[in-house]
Amino acid sequence: MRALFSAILVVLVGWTLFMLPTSRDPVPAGKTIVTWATDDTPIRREQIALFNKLNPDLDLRIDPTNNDPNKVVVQSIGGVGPDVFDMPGTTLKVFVDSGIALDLTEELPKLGYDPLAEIWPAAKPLFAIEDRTYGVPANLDTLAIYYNREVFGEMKLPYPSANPTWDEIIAIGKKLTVKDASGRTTRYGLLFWWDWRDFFAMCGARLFTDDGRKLTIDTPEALEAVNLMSSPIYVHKLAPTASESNSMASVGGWGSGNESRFVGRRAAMVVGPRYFTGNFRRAPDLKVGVVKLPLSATGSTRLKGRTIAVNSRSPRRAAALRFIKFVTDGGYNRLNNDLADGVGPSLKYTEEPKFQFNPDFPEEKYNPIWRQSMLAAQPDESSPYISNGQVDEAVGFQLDLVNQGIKDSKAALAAAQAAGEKLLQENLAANAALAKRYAEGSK
Amino acid sequence: MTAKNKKRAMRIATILGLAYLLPNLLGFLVFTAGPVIFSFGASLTNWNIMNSPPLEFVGFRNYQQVGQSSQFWTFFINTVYFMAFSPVGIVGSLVVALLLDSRLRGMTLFRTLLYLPSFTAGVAIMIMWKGLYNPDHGLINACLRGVFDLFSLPFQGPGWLQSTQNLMGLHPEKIAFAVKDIGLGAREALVFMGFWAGLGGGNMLLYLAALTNMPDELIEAASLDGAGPWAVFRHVKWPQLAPTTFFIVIMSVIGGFQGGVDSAQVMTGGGPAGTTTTLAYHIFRKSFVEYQFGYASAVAWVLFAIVFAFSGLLWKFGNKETNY
Repeated sequence: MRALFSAILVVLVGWTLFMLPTSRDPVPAGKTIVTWATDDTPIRREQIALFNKLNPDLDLRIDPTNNDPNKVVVQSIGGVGPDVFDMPGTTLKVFVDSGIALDLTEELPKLGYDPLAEIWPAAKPLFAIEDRTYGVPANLDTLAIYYNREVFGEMKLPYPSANPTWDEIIAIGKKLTVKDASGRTTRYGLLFWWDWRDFFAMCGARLFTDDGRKLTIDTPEALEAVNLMSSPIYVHKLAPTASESNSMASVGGWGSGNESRFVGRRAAMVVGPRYFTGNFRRAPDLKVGVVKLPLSATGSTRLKGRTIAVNSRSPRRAAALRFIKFVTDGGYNRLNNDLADGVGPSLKYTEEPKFQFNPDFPEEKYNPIWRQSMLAAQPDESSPYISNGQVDEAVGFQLDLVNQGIKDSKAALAAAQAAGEKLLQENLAANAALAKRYAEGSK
Repeated sequence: MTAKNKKRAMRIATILGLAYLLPNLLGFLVFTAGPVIFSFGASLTNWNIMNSPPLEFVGFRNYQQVGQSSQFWTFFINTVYFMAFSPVGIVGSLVVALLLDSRLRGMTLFRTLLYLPSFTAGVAIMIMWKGLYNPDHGLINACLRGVFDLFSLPFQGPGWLQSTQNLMGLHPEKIAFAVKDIGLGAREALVFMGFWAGLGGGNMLLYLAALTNMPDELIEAASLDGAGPWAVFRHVKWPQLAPTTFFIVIMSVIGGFQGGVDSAQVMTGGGPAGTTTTLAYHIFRKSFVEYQFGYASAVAWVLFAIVFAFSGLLWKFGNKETNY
């Protein structure tokens, strides 16, 4: 028996050693592999194909399974992170403070790129902190309202006006909502993401005072935002609850979630970003129109986007910087704009005639609306004294109670304000340097 | 064989034995013991990945904060709430094992069917249950509605995953009870799903194995003495199953305290209003969402202490009653 086990051990060790070289992806001769932690989409594959074509000595590959910021942070600290990676939304500070995002302030001018002059002005918080630059946006986006022209035609309803109000959208949405004999909604008037930050932006509700030292989430504007977000669902019943959305079958092949439901005619209108357009193109029978999102006098659309950064510990820094250069170039920007993956990082390419009207997609006459909406967009606010995750936790918890009918919106926002302030004070108590900065009143 | 040769053979056998153990031992040291010791060290620091504030030794401050955190105690109650239902699951597994122990035709098929959820991907099961729990269009409320309609009763279905209500009337925001909070909500939804998934799972297999290994003479002797099925179960099978039950209870306590991450991540995000956030999910969020590794390590060690204390108590008071 001993001899048998010894023989098995020897065979296993030998087999492992024999197979070890084959366990790694082969590196094509004369090429350097550059790894980009991002999501895997058809658009991403076209962007990669262009980069690899322009850089024959490099082989850009994506790592979609490790795209999550948490994984990027942990893997990079462990020394096995990607060469370049996406930083979604306002996660920049996490990557900068942890020393993972390479400071590109000196590098970008060497590449012939002035980020502050070229990139959409409102996007600065996504890639820069205190005049130090740490990346270039891969794409930027904001929200508008898509409507299904055919559904409007069937219902003999006029399309929404170019600058609609919420009252108008809700009135139309009610007419477009259809229920079956059992009372089950077969088509909703409107779909939108249950994201309180979108509505805060629309209503001009601020999260913090200018110096970031105090939260301001219990203002009348914030109350208006919460009421505006919940009323289409709970008052007017023209939009699904979160769980209704989850249980609505996706209609295959056109992205996921709301855009898929919109293509499947489960909704007549959907609030969504420009990248939905790319998915809608794969549904050739779909006839879509776009109008601006209604905004209050002080409101704005919310700027969304992801920034590409270079891993400061990457052993292939030069290759990674070539990829950054590629993202800043006209080729990438035009490709991005043509593929409707939001808009490219540089503003000037949306001034070109092909963006205003792309003859390849003659039905899409609404690109100027996207440009105008982008120019009106504002990024998420942030404070050095409390993380966005902590604010989300405080507000999200209270909004759950509003949904349950346990609390009214006003009381919930007051409680969220108190909880947020408590968290902020706890942060100050745990960090002497931060407390000093707070006392000095600097942001 | 001379004494010298014997000694030599013994030495070779020892070296070989250690060589066989070495891969496992190395794995244990590197991937289990090392991180455990490291996490204790981390729990005594303010370590977060962002280096803000700079890394420093803070002694037991994290542990003090854990004790003072109302969040921790809310999530502890959530965890205990989920565990409170585990005896029901254990009884269910026992009943199923007793049924499957009978010698009927087609029993292999029943055994396979009941074990099916155990080798189905957990995420797939959770997504399926998510659909079933939809308050308006889910199959569960549709069935309940059908029953109510049968008796012409008005139907207000449970909110399931959307609801903070629970059978004990726990308030979602503070540690208090209220009649209006009594109902079937997200906590119960996860409990029922866990009960369903566990019914034919590992516990059932353990009971089935114990029943199969039970000497037939004992049951035959009891039957000859006039014992009915209930008496046979109560006085013969149940005492014989005691060591298995003890093992299952210990494992359920340990697993219960460590559970809740998958379902929270896939089905509820820990909500609504934190009602399905367990201590294990709290640790996950503190580490990998908020990057507070020092604090999260402290919570993990407090959780370890709780599990250790509960297991110790069970061992002290349960072991001598169940092992012969």
